[in-house]
Amino acid sequence: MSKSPKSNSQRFSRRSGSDRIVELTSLIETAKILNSSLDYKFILNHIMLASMGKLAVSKTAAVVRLPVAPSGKEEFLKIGKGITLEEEVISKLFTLDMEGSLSISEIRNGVGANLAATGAGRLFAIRTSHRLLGYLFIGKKLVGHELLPSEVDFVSTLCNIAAASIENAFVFQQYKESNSELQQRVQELQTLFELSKEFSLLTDEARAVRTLEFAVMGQTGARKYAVCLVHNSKGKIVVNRMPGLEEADLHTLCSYEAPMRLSELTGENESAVRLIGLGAEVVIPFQLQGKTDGLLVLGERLSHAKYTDSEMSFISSLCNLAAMAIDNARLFEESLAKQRLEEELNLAHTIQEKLLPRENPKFTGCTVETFHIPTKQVGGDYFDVIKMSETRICVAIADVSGKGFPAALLMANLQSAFRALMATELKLNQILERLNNIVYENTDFDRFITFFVALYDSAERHLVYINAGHNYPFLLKRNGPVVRLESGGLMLGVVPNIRYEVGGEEIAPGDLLYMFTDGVNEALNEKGEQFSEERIGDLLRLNAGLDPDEILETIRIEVSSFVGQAPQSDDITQLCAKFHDK
Amino acid sequence: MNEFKVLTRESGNAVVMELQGFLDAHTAPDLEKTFSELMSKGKYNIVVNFNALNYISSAGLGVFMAYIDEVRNNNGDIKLASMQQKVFNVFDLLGFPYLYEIYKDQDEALKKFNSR
Repeated sequence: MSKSPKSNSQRFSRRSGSDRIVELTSLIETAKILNSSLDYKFILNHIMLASMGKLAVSKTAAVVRLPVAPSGKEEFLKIGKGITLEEEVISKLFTLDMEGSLSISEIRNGVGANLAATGAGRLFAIRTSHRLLGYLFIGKKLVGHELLPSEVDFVSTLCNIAAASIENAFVFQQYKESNSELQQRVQELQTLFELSKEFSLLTDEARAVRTLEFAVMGQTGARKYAVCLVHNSKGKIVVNRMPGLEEADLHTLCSYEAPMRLSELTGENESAVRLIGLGAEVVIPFQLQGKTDGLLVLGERLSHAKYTDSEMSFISSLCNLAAMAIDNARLFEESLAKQRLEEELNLAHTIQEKLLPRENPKFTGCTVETFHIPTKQVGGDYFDVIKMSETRICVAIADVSGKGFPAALLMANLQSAFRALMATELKLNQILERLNNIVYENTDFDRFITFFVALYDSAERHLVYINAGHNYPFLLKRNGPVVRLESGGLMLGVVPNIRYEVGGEEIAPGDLLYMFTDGVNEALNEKGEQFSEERIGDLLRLNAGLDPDEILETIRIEVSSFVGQAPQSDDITQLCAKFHDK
Repeated sequence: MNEFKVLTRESGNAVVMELQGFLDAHTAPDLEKTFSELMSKGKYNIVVNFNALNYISSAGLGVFMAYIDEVRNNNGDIKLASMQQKVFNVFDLLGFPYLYEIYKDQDEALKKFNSR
């Protein structure tokens, strides 16, 4: 300290010169290292260590304000080596928007004192030309004095180099984030595309739900979830990976139309509170034509990340696709069921047709023709023509009350009983009495059958018949008179154990017997009028000279032109027999 | 339609499941079937070899999610191995490396089971 001022200054300047070189070399080194790094933690660390080494200080800290997160919350990255920084102090410092460097004692804004207490001595701004990125705090020197101007310059330069590198790293990180977000979107679009393709092929509800499950699990990494389908305003949980969840928890949520976060519903919906307790986070409704068809409840996921708005709207699109596929599967199921029913009906129709005579037997004493159209595929009309022997023939006609399957079943029952009884030696009235009891026993009181049966013996030229409540058949005598065949008794199946009276008529060649069901006389036209037995009688009289098949055809055409566009209301059955010599 | 195939074979105390082709929403049920068969046989140490898998979609990943809890609840694991880069990228994008151990090759994954 006692040397001459000159030599002192010379020594100082020499030292300062070599220092300068060391300093520059170290700065260039630092610049190289920092510029090649995209990790701002590393960058901060490096300038802290470089400062500590160069200035021989034992305490430093650094902080940068991170690029604004999607959540919009201000976040900082801070590193302290012997200096601990409070969040509050940091926020205040950033409002200073400082340039260059300041001694802690020069800092206003009420944070100076706080900083001094941490042991920081000087504060350096890390900034680019247009914005503040962060701060570097240098601790007080061990010996207590302020930093030399050259030291301040060194650290300032270090901060400038760091600023450029940090800015670089920020940009790179943002690029990486937006790139990854873009890839996410691409992945979502691919999933959506794939599922819409897959869903269009599916015709099975369970498969559609499973496909949705896989896609949602794969896309979100959700471990807790549930799927509830709403059908006819009833909710049913079809997949439950959320222990404790019950259908009742979801009822009130079915009225929502848009994806929702349960945390935002706690005020208005009690179920939301319970669901959150079970680990659920969001609920996505399945929307189809403005109606909620189901719910997807999503909970905790692999990454523990919250569901973002864009993810929720993506999942919602998936769910709506699924709703469509599920709806299609149901429609398909329904049309299958309908098709099956139709097939059964066709089968029943075929069976019933076989119960009716397909070909009328050739018989020497008379020609018999029949005509039948059911309203539906199966019906309750019955007729029969049985050749008993070379000289005896039996004709019968019946109308079972009601329509469709029940009537068809009863008709089949009647046919088999009647056929079986006709094969016995029993007399006609005995047959009818037994038939009546069978029908009575096999049906409820509101079911009955009107029945007419006639037996013609060509050797005797005699017709016997019983009419059990059926529309009176016409017997047109060749010489003019018309007889209605009324003898018999009550319709079958109403009262048990009743007697039937047998009617008899002498037959001459050329006589005509016409039997029909009420589908003929009660056929309605567009005005709601009935065809009527009068019209039948008139037509028979006018056409009595024709062959039986021509007579049936004439009446059919008349009925059909009378009815016009009105729908056929009942089965139509006719039977016509014309008696002759041989 | 793109083909997908799963082959399984036993190796020590583990089962190696080899995937081939395209795993997407359409083929996911095939993989699901294989997993559910392994579950019913009580095979919970599973190494999935992705070497011959050319494509995986989100729905494909979903199958692994569907079984991981059951497997781990039975002290097993699903370890993934030999992924092509583009397949790994999908796993990575959707955050799967957090949940699944992914190995360079199948033997490395098998060693983990055998050393237990």
